[in-house]
Amino acid sequence: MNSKKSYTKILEIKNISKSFGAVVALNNVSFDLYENEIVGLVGDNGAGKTTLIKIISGVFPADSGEIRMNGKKVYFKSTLDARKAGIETVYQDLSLCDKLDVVSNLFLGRERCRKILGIDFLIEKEMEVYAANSLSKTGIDIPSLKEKVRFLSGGQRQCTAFVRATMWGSKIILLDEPYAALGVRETAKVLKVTENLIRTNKNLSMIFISHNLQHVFSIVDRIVVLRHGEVIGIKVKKEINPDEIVGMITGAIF
Amino acid sequence: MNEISDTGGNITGMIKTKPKIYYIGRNILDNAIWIILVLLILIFSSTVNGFFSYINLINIIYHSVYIGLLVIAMSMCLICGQMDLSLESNAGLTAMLGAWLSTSNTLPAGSGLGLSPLFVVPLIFIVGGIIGALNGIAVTKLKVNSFIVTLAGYVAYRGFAILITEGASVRGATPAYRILDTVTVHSIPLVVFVVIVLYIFFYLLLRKSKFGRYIYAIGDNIEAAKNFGVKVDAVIIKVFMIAGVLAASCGWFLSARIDGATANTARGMIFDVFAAAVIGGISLKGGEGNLVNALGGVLLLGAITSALNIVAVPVFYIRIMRGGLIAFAVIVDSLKTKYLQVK
Repeated sequence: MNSKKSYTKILEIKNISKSFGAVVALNNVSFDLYENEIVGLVGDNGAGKTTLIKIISGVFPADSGEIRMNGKKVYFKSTLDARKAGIETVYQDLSLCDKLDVVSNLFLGRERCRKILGIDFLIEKEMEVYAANSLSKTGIDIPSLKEKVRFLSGGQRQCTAFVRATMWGSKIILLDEPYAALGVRETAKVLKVTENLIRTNKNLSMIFISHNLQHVFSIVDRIVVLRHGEVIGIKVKKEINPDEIVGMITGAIF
Repeated sequence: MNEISDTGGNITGMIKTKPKIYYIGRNILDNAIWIILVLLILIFSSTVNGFFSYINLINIIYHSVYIGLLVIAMSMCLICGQMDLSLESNAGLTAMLGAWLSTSNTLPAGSGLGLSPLFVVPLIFIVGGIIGALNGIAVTKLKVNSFIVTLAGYVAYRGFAILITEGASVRGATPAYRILDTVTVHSIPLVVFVVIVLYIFFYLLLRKSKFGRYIYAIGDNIEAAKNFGVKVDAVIIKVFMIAGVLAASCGWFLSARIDGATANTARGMIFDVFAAAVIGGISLKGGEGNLVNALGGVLLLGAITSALNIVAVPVFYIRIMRGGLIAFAVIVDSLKTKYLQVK
């Protein structure tokens, strides 16, 4: 289902380099992300995965190289810029407000309001209905949308953060080491939800970073392997097995 | 992580449903203040002579007005993850300024101006607002901890208040300046109604407006709020400014009530304000609590003080009891967090 999709490049990473002082974090990294594709970004600790994600999501700029979205060169000064362009990042800590309810979290920074006497009052009913629709498409069941996020399970929290990332007409989702805190079975389910959500929404693509090759293999189309800040290989999942990827990560196979 | 009691590959299985009793328990704990208040009133009514009379109950509410105003201000700051200790001195300064400008006496220390409240009241509101803005700017732009900033303000603004008359008291404001205090409906001063309206307004602002939602979000997870485009600094500065104006209104009402001001007006209030807010369930950790319950805290404190005063308990016992009450409230707050956190 992947190699056939090589028509539209949604994101092009071209010759990105980044150094921190004398340390070269990324050296001439290039790869593309196609429409509705899931690319796995793998590599050992310090391979440059997180640096690359931070550049794509606008946390800091690259020293050289360029990023193109839909063929157009983009330059992000902040994460908000990247978000406006349609790149949403789900971080490990999920960026949820624990004491707010699910709806409030889904709409954080994007509340629907009506002005009364010059004050923006929330239209709660409308937001609730919209949130319920968005969540029901995913098959995630949450006890109540009015439940505070801190009373949810790890998987429910994860899904809430992920659904929020996909809700706002976003085009590219960056998922950084998402399931470190989840149990095995919960992870399997969240992976399923994640994949379904991407596959059923043709406008979405995803870059998935994980240490866990089993997770990577279960949902991605292609795998980009980083080592010491360089791209060692870009492989279509079907044409490679996890052992070979491990070899590439560690340097046993070139 | 938790047990997953599911049956198949469906994500639905991930849910660990909690028994209904859990939600009921949580609701009761969240609103326990009103149950405690009702119980205490019942106990006081049956044991303290003269407690349960119309006049005394009105009195409790009337005397709670000033604390109540500052509790709105403190609650907003606490929910936003901040603190404002300068509220008390802000009220003291604005009370002094308002009384001084409003009096036509020059003795013992009045300005002799006798200015109209139409000029004086907006002026002291602006002074209060500026004090709040300075707090907010120091916290957001200079990144100073709000406890330290407002502690400095707490000390300094009291100094300014004393500076106006060099320590002397002011007496005799214009009747118009005192109108909210002197005009009564069924022996309830108008100021009581004003504060009730303010509670309703700020409850709605906090719970139903975008601004209020952001206050909660910032107190809860400031990084997340920033991440999602909330203008965190602007919200915090506005919160401090509103708190400052509320403190100034407290200053106005206080100086109207005592028809003047002294170097000690509003002194010591901040501890009761703090106590009432915490007893009313405003969490010190930020992002939690609501004004209705905070109002419960205010009334609870007022009821206890009144009962103890009627039976003429020595003032040091009252202080010890209040201290115990604060400690109790903080412990309950922290236990609530601990036991309701079901992972």
